[in-house]
Amino acid sequence: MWGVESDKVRITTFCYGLEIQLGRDPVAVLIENRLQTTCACFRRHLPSTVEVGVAICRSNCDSDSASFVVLSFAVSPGRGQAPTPWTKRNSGQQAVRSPPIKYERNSEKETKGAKEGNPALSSLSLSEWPLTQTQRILNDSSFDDSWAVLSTAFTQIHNKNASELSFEVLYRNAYTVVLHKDGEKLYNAAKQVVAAHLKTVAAGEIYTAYQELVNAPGTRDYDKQDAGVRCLKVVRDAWEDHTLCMRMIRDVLMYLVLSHQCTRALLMLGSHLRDASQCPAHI
Amino acid sequence: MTQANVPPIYDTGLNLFRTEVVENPDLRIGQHLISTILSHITLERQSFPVDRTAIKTNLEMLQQLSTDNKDTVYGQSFEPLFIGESSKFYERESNEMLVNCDAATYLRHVEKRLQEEYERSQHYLIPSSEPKIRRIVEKELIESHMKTVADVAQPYSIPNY
Repeated sequence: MWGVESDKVRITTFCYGLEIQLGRDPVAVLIENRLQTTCACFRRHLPSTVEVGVAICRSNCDSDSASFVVLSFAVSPGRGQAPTPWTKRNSGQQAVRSPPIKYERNSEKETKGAKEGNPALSSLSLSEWPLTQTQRILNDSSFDDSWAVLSTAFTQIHNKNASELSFEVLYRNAYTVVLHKDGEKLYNAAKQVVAAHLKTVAAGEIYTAYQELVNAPGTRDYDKQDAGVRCLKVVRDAWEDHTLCMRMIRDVLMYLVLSHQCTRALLMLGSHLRDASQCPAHI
Repeated sequence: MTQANVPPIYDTGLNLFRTEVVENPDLRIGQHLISTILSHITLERQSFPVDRTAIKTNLEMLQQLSTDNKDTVYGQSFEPLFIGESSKFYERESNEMLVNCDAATYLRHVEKRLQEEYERSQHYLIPSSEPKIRRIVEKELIESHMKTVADVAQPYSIPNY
């Protein structure tokens, strides 16, 4: 929870909401302009694979001041740009492509905005929406439930069984955890699982290979060459497996990455709006 | 949210590979790995065939692992040892050769070594190492023995009227 304040613009983020109050700007046209600047600003600060939807939910206009509240700020992977699903590693079968994740429309708030006849609402794309507050409560599950699913999945990924996993289920679990503001906890827990796995790998096959190298007969480099090549290959395989696993884990935790980028974008947006408010004539 | 300062999960994963595997204080896999690579390079210099692809992937891995002070494991751990080993190897070799060969053979050998090191750096070293290793060969094989070579070479190069 953070906010940026100046005498003319106030932004407060809620879970994914944004409140902007404009001071002395002349009314409705400026709201629309400002809102479009806001959307453009979001887009500029986020990678092109990310789609942004912003909607006004409430606006108050009178002769010399205007304010509106953006309650829904949705960031989602752009259409056709869903995270690359992984292929089955141990069989020659075709890659399983997960369906793209769809967000429910925030119908209640949209209707409210429409009833108040907000001029800017119709000009905005409302194609992607996060789950609403109500739906979140309905879908509520604790961190432990989601983490149980995710940690099992990470173990499967490490054991090269990823083909049996459903990307959508995992993504949704990670998404729920992040929405419940447990993103950091999830990040650390994932880090621990990866670290524990790497410890096992290091102490297992890699260490064994090096023991064989040290104990190989002969004293010259040449005598130990074959054992040396085996070690190099064991380390190489471990490295390649690890980078593949990390790519999968990153895809599953995509929402964590997005919310991280989003936090940064919001911070930049805050200063952008504050700067813009200093010179309303140019807006 | 307080995630603005943590690195992305993928980078964290690569970093964990460094701390848990390569630089694991109990297993010392990094040291073993680097000394294995160095011994293979020495073998190649002695004209034994080696598995260049295996060396290349391992060195690329070391290059991708960044350390806490924004260097890479390659730059921080491998390269200094590689330069040191090469320096010792060529110092020993030049001393042995100058006892047994004439200047022309020696100079041809130096040229061959320069060519070999260039090819090695193209094949499996990181490009930034190329000028460093060239400098070592030039220093150990040429600069240090300039006078000796010139002395030995004199009878052949300047006709005695």
